This record gives sequence, structure tokens and C-alpha cells, in this order.
Amino acid sequence: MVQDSDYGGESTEEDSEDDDEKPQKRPNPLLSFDEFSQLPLNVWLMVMDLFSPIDLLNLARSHTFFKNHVTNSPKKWGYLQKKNITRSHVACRPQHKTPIAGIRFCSYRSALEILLSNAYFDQFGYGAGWGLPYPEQYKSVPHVRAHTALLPIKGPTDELCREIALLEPYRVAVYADPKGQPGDFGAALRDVIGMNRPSLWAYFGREIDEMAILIEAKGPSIRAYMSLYMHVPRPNMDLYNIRPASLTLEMNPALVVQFHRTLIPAINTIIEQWERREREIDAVVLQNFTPSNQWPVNNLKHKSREEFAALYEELCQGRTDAHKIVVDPERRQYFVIRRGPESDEGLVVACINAKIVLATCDYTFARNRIPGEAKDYLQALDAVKKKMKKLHAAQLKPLAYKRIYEMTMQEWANRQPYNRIPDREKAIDRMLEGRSWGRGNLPEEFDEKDDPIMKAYRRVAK
Amino acid sequence: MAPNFEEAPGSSKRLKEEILYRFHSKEGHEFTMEKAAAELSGVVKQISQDLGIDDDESIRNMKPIPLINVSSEAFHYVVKWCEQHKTMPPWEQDKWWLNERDEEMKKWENEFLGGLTSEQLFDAANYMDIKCLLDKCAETVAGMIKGKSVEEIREIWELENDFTPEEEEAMK
Repeated sequence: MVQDSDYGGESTEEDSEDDDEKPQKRPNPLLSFDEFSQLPLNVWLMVMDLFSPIDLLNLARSHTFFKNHVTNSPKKWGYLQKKNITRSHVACRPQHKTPIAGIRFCSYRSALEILLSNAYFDQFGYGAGWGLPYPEQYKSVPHVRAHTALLPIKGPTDELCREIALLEPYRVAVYADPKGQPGDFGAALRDVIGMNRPSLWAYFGREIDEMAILIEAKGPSIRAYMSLYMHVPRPNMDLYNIRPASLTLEMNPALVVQFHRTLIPAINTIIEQWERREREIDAVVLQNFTPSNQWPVNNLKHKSREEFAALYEELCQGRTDAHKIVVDPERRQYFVIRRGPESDEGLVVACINAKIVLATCDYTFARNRIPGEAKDYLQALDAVKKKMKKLHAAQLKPLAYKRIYEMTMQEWANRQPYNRIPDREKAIDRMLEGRSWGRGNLPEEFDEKDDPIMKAYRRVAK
Repeated sequence: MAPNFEEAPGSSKRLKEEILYRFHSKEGHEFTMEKAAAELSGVVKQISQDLGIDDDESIRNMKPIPLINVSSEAFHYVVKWCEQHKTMPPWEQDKWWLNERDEEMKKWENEFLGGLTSEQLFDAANYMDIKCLLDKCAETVAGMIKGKSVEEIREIWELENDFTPEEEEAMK
């Protein structure tokens, strides 16, 4: 058999000794300049098509040979010579005209995710009252390999507390059917704990009647559904993959009196487990959900403040790194707990609109938040969102539809809104994998210095 | 050490039971390639179609296909590539985003091309119309230049700055 070494692929011992003495030599390129310049025209063009404008610009500036080729197209040369050209002005392949929007879209999406992952709980209180889809809708949603099982819910709250403390929010979830009949709540929780399934999501419906359990729903898909319940304005949900709550519990106050105060021991247990690294928390939302979701505003505010004070008093005892932050005295106040003395990880505990929210965050970022800064954050967020929407809309040309969503515009239009979410998420995943926007992965870094939106984002996020 | 083409993966000493296409390289060496692997080449497909070769017996009896522009060395690598990719789904030139490769294959491809320094492979892939190889070669070459500064490009290709100061100023 012919070995690769026959073609010089393997180095000998002598070579390796020489390498030690000589400075490290750059590996030979696949093609030398002479070989490259003598490639057949179709191959040559194929390679040139893969270059971004900034690469072409650099190539043209490196040698007259390339400059002559590039300047054969005066229009392209004129475009390339524009000032402030950045890597984001990429139009890699002439037959696919939209990567400029695509790469910027991904950049903004990344920015948005960072913003949201650091302070997404600011979004609570906005858009509350979004309708909740019924389980029948879930069943028709593609990409979710799940089936539902109905279980009854009823039971005392002390048992609930113990059971919640045992839950692993990162792994377990329950879905409640808003239309069912009252049942055994504790028994349902025990069943959930016993299942120990990964990547499930929990929701105890606003009128707790029956509980359905989503089993084996895979991560990316289920995230989209969870995000529906984060009370974040729907436009965000449609476009972006927002970090969801791993466990959301919403309970009827008819069953639970002084819900927050009752749950404090359970929350404390969860936090202690998190601090001991026995449990990972993404986000936990405990909500006292009224049947109409319309408590009198004053009563709600008063109740939230009262519950928050109780939470702060109970949970911050003995935690020296706990820090209380009042963003908006009326609605948003929270405290942040550090995971360990040297850890960068923090846990935000917020009490907003009759919900207790636990969400992991960047401790330093959350600690340094000051009143008034939320406005800047929201402005930056809005700007990023608008830009993303615009870019996303710009991409939605027929061919782009076909390429991104693997369906025609008409097919896409026929999809129901809740079906589009996993489709979009899948498309975004594809984009990030670089399969929709060119060969190979997207550039990880590119210069956005001149972009006012990114400036605003950086100012707020760092 | 000179390569021994008689025993190479694509040499004619391979099992007779297999359905093999036969080729003659530029230097006159005879190579064989499995049917599935050979049909990655557009040229082979076209020749088979033109000659009306559609059954295994005809393939066995056909004369070696002369590849007058493909060196033995390049063809050796072409055979390796094709045999590695013979089970992969057909390469989509237009719908390139459908061309998925698993991680293992990607790693193999990168290692395969990482050790080569010859344009002959390019020419062979182009001449034989092996689209997946041609695309991969183009990607690899483009990867050498992508994201590099002017100075780095000059260093990679050992180019001299042949611009006059006026031209450089005009380009800034």
C-alpha cells in the first residue's frame, strides 16, 4: 500500500530535530501563489466567491494581480473602497444576496441574548395577560416529540412545599390543563418527581383542574413554549430564543393562602442546594395566579412589597453577599445572591406581580445595576429588537424563505403562529451553524464599532 | 521514496470480484476504482452514459478511461477521497446547504486536505468533475486567506508589495 509518507505527508526524525533548532516554520499553503493564479477560471471564480468583500479588499491591496482582477468590476471596487467597511458587510456568495442581514441578525441576536440573560427579569410586568395556548395546540405542534397524560390535582400546601423543594427545576416540568377538574396536586408532583425526565417544563394552570405532563420534549423546541409563559412581549418570542424558566408554577389562590410566605422554606431549600452545587437553576418562577389575572393594582403592589420584604428578611439572613436592588420601587425590586465567595454566578430573587422569580445571572452585572439604568437597558433592548425585526423582515424574500424555513412563503403563511416559533428557532439554529449563510461557520468576531445600536448595547451590557 | 502505484488503493491488483472502473493516469499507470466511488465523478458518469454502459458486466469489460490531465499522484488522492465518500448522499451543487457531513467526516476531510500542497488535486477534481472534492478544495484555499490582513496574505503567498506609494495612497 502506498503510505501518505510517500507523498511527504509525514516528517522524519531528522526533520523533527531540525524543527527544534530552527524557528517554527509556517505550514505550506495548499497552493502557492503561482499555482493559485494558474487555476482554471471556473475554479478560480469558485474560490473568489467564497471571499467576503473585506477579504477581497485585502487581497486586492496585497498584489497588483488581485487588484487587476477585482477592479475588473468597477462597481464592486467602488463598493469595496467605501470607508468604514466592516466584516459585517459580508456578501460572500453572489448567488445569495442576504448574508449582510443574516450576520447582523445573528450579531444582534447574540447581543439580545446577553442582555436578556443578564437582566431579562426586567421584562416581568410587561405584556402580562398573554393568552395561554391549550394542550390541544401543543399536540399539533411539530418538532415536539411529546405526549400528554392527564393527572388530577388536589392537596394541601405544606405537602406542596416539600415536594417543590425536591423538584429539580432544571430537569422536571409539569403542564396543567386549564380546562380540567381539581385533582391531587401533591400526587401529581410525586409522579413528576418519580419520572425524572430531562428537559421538561412545568406549568400549573391558572384554574388548576387537571394536569398534563409533557414528556421527552427536546430542549430547543420546548424552550420556545416555555418562553411563551415568561410574560415577555410576543414579538420577542417570535424572533428570538429567550432564556426560559425551567420551572414555572402558577397556582390558584383559592388553594394557596399566603403563597409566597408559605413557599419561603421551599425556596430557601432550593437556594441552599444551588449554593452547594447540588442543583442547577436556570430560572424558577413561582406565581400566585389569580383566576382572572387582574388583581386590583394597588393591592397587587402592596402585596408584592409585603411578600418581597418577607422574602428578603428570610432569605438574606447569613448571606453576606446578598444585595438588595431597587430598580423601580413601585414594581421592580430584587436581591441578588452570590453562589460562592469567589463565584461570578448570581441568583436573582425577585417578587414581581405576585410572582417569585429565581433566575441565575451574572452576579457583578446584577450587583452593579442602579436605579434608572433599567431605562437605558430597555432602550438598548428595544433598539436591538427593532433592528433584528427589520433585518429579519429583509431576509424574508421568497428564496430566503425557502432556504431558511425549507418551505415556501405560502406554506409559511399557512402555518399557525404557535407553529412558527419552533420553525424560527430551528432556522436560527441553522443560521448559527452556518448552514444557511454560507459555507463554514459565521465569523465569530467582527467590527461593530461604528454601529450606534451596538454601542448602546455595550454601554448597558458591560 | 517513490510511490508504488501498483499497490495503491486504486491499483489494478484489487479484487476482481468488485465492480471496478479502470483508469489510465497521465503517466500511464492503471488504476481502478469501485463503481460507487467512481460515480462521484461527473466525467465517469457522462462517459458511461455516452457509451451506454449501464450494467456491471459492461463496466468490467470496458477499456480503461484515459485521464490525460490527471497525474498518478493526484489520482491516488482522488481515489482515497472517492472511496471515503462513496456512501455519502449525492453532492448538491446548487442546494449546497443540504450537503451535510458528520463530524467524523469533516475531521477526515480536513486532515486529508491538510497534508496536501499540490494544485494537481484541484486540477484532477476539476477535470473529473468531482464536485464535493472541488468544493472542499476551494473552501480550504479560501480558508487560507479569509480573515487575513494584507501583510498576512503577502506572507502566506510570499508576495512582494508591487504597488507604488501613490497607488497605495489611492487605495486607502
